[in-house]
Amino acid sequence: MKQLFLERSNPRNQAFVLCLVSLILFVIDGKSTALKPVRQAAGSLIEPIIWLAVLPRRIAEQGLSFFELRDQQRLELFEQRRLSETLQARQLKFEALLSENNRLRALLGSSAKVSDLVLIAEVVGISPDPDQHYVMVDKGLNDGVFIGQPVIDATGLVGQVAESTTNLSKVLLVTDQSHAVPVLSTRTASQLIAEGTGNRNLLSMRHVSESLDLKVGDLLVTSGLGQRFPSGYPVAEIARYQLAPGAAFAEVLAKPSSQLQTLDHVLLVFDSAADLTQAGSLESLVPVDG
Amino acid sequence: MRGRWIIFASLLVAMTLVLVPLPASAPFELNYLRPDWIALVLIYWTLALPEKVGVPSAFCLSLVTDLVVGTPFGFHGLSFVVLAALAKGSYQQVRMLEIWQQSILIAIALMMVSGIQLLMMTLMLDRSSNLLQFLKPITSALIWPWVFLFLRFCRRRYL
Repeated sequence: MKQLFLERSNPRNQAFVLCLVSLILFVIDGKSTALKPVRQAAGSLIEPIIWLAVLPRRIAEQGLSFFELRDQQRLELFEQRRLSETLQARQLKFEALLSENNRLRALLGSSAKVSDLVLIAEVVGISPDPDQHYVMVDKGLNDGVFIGQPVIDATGLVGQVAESTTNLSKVLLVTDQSHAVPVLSTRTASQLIAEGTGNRNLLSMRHVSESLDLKVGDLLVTSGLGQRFPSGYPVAEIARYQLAPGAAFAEVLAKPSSQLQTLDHVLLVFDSAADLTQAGSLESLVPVDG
Repeated sequence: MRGRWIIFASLLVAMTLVLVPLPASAPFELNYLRPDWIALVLIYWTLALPEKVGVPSAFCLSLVTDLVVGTPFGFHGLSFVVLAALAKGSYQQVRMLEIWQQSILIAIALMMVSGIQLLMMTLMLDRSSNLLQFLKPITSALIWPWVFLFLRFCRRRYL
């Protein structure tokens, strides 16, 4: 019989020491980024466990699509084609607008906006702990993903990459308690910071002074301040605005734009081609004009 | 040692069960009812083979669990070490009990551990935890008899 630790020491002392080690590790890893490289290296080793957990769902999906009626599939394909054509038509207009916008910007002497490149990733897992809001996606360091990379979906901002291993990344959602994003309201251009609340359907704004012009229904988009998120992606819509008499700040809650509970595909945003150090991933990138 | 793979296999299955996502149509709050599979499997093996599975193995397991679940290192460490130490210190008595009595003990132990985890999150990382987390020990205790019978079957068959 082989054991990792020799049984010489008193088990009670051993337990006590390991409890202390756990607490110290917890504080270090929770409060600093010192252990991130260790997590990254070890995380790559345990990737198969995460893939294993996705397997049942993958098989179920495959099985379902196998039994799906052919007529239904044809209908779906038809719908998708029509949608794609509509989107392409709208895209044409956007391109004209973009070039016009850039011309105007050039007249004003400000730099032209470059379009963002995105990489499509599939969500392969969600956090088993309901108090931690993150999803695992199937793109990792090998695809050029980097820590802090903005993640969007078709409807708005999803979050940012918090950890990345060889082929998987952990995407922290905007609703996580540790997440905050600088936003501005499109109606009045008021600058705010939207913080996660730990509730899947709510973001909260802290320190909103009573003089700010905000009302229910205002759309909040990323402001681009802080240099982490590119500007202009929808984040949330104000769902509640309450100014209690005598209170220093208004209570403002907003509902995230993207469906964070039912994500299945997300887009990883690359600022520019300069972000792409890894070759090979370029073909799979799609430009998004913004 | 022959048959040690069954321990690893059972832990792997437990981790998979922890990670498997619920269907998107299910209400999200159901996640609070999911049992703590890894802790249950750890408790079983510490009770069944206290000379092989103990506090150090529990600590190593906790590090892997932290990686798999995405919590900071050490989050599960304290709880798993406490659980393994408790199980190892009392395996002779606990083995004598009926399964339902074991379930009650497990509910109490896991409640305590959930309390520790809640304190760690709120006091040290300043994150609030939902009190619904305290439902997990109850579902874990309810599922314990089946975990116990299944793992005992595996142990007798393969170990």
